[in-house]
Amino acid sequence: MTELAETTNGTDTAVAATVPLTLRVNGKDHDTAVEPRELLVDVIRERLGLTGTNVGCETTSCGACTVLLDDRSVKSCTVLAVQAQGREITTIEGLADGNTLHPVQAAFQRCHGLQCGFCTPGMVMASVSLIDEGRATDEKSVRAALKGNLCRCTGYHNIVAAVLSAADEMEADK
Amino acid sequence: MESTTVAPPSGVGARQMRLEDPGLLTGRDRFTSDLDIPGALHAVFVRSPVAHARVVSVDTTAATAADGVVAVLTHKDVDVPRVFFPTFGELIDDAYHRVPLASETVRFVGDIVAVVVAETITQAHDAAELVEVDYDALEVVVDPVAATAPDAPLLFPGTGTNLAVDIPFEAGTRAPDAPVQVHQRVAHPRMAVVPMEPLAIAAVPGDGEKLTLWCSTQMPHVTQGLMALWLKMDPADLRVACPSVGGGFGGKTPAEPDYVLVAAIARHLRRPVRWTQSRSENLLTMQARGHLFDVTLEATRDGRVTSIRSEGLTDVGGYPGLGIGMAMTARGLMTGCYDIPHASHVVRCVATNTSPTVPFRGAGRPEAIHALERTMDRLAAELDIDPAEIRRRNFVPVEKFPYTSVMGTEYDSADFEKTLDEALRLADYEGLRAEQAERRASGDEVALGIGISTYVEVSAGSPGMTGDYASVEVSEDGWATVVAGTSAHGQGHWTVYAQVVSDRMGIPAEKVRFVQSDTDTVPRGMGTSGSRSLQLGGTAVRLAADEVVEQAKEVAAHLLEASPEDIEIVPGVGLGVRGVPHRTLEWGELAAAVADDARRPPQLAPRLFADPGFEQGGGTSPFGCHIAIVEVDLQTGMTTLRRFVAVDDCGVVVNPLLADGQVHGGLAAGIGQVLFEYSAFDDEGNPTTTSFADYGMPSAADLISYDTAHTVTPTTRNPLGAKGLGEAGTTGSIAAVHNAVMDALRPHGIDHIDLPLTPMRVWQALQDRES
Ligand code: FES
Ligand code: FES
Repeated sequence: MTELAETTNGTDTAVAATVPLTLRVNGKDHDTAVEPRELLVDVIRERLGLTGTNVGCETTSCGACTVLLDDRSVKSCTVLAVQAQGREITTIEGLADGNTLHPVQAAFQRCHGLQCGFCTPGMVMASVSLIDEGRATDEKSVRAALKGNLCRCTGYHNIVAAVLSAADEMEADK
Repeated sequence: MESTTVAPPSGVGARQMRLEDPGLLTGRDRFTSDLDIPGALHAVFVRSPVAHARVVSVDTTAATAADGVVAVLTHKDVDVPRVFFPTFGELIDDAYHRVPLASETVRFVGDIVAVVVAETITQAHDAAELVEVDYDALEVVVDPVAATAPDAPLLFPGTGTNLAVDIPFEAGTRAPDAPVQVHQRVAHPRMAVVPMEPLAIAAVPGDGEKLTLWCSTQMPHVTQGLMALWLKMDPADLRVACPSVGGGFGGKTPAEPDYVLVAAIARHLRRPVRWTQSRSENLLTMQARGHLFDVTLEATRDGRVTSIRSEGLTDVGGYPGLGIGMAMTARGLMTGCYDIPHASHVVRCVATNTSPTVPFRGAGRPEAIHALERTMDRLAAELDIDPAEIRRRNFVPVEKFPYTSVMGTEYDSADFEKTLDEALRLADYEGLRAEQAERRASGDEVALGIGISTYVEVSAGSPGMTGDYASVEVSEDGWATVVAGTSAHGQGHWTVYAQVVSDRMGIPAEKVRFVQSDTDTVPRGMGTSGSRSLQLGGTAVRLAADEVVEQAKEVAAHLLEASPEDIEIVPGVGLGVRGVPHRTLEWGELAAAVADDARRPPQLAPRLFADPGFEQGGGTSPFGCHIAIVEVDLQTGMTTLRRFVAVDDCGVVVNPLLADGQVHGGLAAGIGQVLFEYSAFDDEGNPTTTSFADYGMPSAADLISYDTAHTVTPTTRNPLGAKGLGEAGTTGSIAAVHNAVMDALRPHGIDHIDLPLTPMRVWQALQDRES
């Protein structure tokens, strides 16, 4: 707990009425304590110091905060941290295998599916999940599935190309 | 040593993958809000909920007493400077300058009246709710035309007018009695800039007067200069540094008023203070565009334009400032690609009770091209000449470059017919027109529309911004380090500059380190905006690389006992003696030798380092042709984009992968502006588009894949032959999509609908026509 508090961005960890919580993130258990109203994204970023997950809105509209919860993508600004207890959380930091990028990350690099990189962690996590669910069948379905992840830089062209390319590659490797 | 075989380095022209990506793709790289700033307090702004009012009182008692609150500050507590831009100093009255913490009057919903500073962000938000402000409402003016009326309520009564700028212009000779004249009013509405990372800053006071600003900006050095000016600090005491920056698009070019406020408060409290803009604040206060153009073209019967007379009315919001720049830039491009002998234009900028405006992708360029190209289509229709043909008849001919337009704008080089022809070919223009004729004849309820836009811009041409800094240094590990005064925030400068290094020095791109965006480590720079970076920064890198190669040749000649003229680059290795394959020295060895007094040629400094900088002395003119193909459902008014062809000419392309990426992003913004996106206010000045639920930010599902291509007309203004490309996608696409929808609707009796072309707007126009 003290170790975690040091990684915060000034969030007051001494507030009353916190509940103890164990979060399993990227295959590792983190014991922490949170207020019941705290959002998963804030706990991931500020209590666990995993700042790869970004915040781009307050209205669950942009997808910058997308993480995997038991392998399904969720917007972590819509989930209370306490709801994630006992579930497997994967953030962008947990996707690559050491220095080897996950096929979706590699495809984003190959296809130039990112520019500023702010939407990217969320976009990649959403893509991992939609490929996993078999929804990356063609351009139209990828576009529909990524509707909730906004990007201002790429015009989406290369993001869609990256997802289709990764899906092909992952299918071939099965 | 023996030379080893190495894969050829990826130089200019290669589709090199980005060096930036691994850090961004793994979440390792940090944005400003990710930084751990020990002991930082959190600021939340209390913003005015009314558009125009006198501030009677601000009661901070309850907020000050709330949990965790360190201070609640109003203009009475902290000295906040006036924010002004010296560039516009001669254009506007000082009375229009904004003090980011309002005192007596608030002039738009969002004007800041108090700042709560607390230990945690939650505490700051909670306490902000407790600040009680008493407002005495003043009459509101939202509509820019109404704001120019003689009896309009005045935002700055001392000036006697809301028209902050009113500048007429006329040049050339107007042919008398033009046989044809068309007029078009083109509204170019407000939109929001929407970088996915909103503004963010952490202001950290140091010893004495020292202050570090970690912030999300496109221009660290410009921010340093302006902040120091406003805060009356010695620039040497002020460090501005950016970690990763999550997009800018012009919205992060000014030294933000919000940043000045946070800096002033950190200085006042002598404690680190951080602030991250919320999305609703971002959609409200980072707005752009907002023009109304009246364009009159005069022409001969065969479609040759003899005169353009135009007026722009630009709504610059509650505090006229940066928004004026866009109106001035638009004026310079009002004749577009055409050789027009006479022009007049009036720039008028008006204050209204809405958010002050900032630049957005194109920053005046798309505005001018949109107004002009819309009117060109009206002229084509009037004369029954094909839109492609009427453009061709008016293009500045290729032999006239370098060309100075009647607006006084210089285009260094272009070949407008080349991009037009290529776009027509890629789109299968004739085939499309045939399909359209067929569908029209058969009474198809889904109308096909084809829209053409030809554009030209000026990149890197803003006064005082036509040069930049870069250094190149080779170290003993054989790597090169580039330090650049430009400031990338998504553009991929590390990669393209590394390609330039690779091209000039034979060092692979993967062995290039990159330093940018920090006034402590970069001696000077003008940042990234206005499509300036590759041509200026990339050239500065090239010149520095060439100087380092010359130094290294002297070292190699000295060590290998050869003449410098016989030393050549051995790509992937270092330098060697021409014709003697085994006599080479690696870059690392050369760097070590030059640092060694015993081995350094006496005339050299002890580093392989150069930073000559580059001054271009003027801008370059990217150009192109965009064709949009749309289908408009005449029952529902719904527009579907079927295809988009963009042929852009930015001179020499250093990295086609990244060049296409720039175009894609620009197209999305332009298409979005035509079909979905706009920022709006009601009659009371209340914003109605401050969340993604209300603001039509385009998603992947709203857009299509684009057909992009490039023709190459190198500029001679810089040795790379490169021009800017960051804004071209937007500059060309707005008019193309707008013209396409109008092309679909013209046979149905509709000549013009103003943006945004939402299904409701189009449907309404179809209804109005029937009634
Ligand atoms: S931050 Fe979660 S959707 Fe925008
Ligand atoms: S890459 Fe910048 S927002 Fe998507």
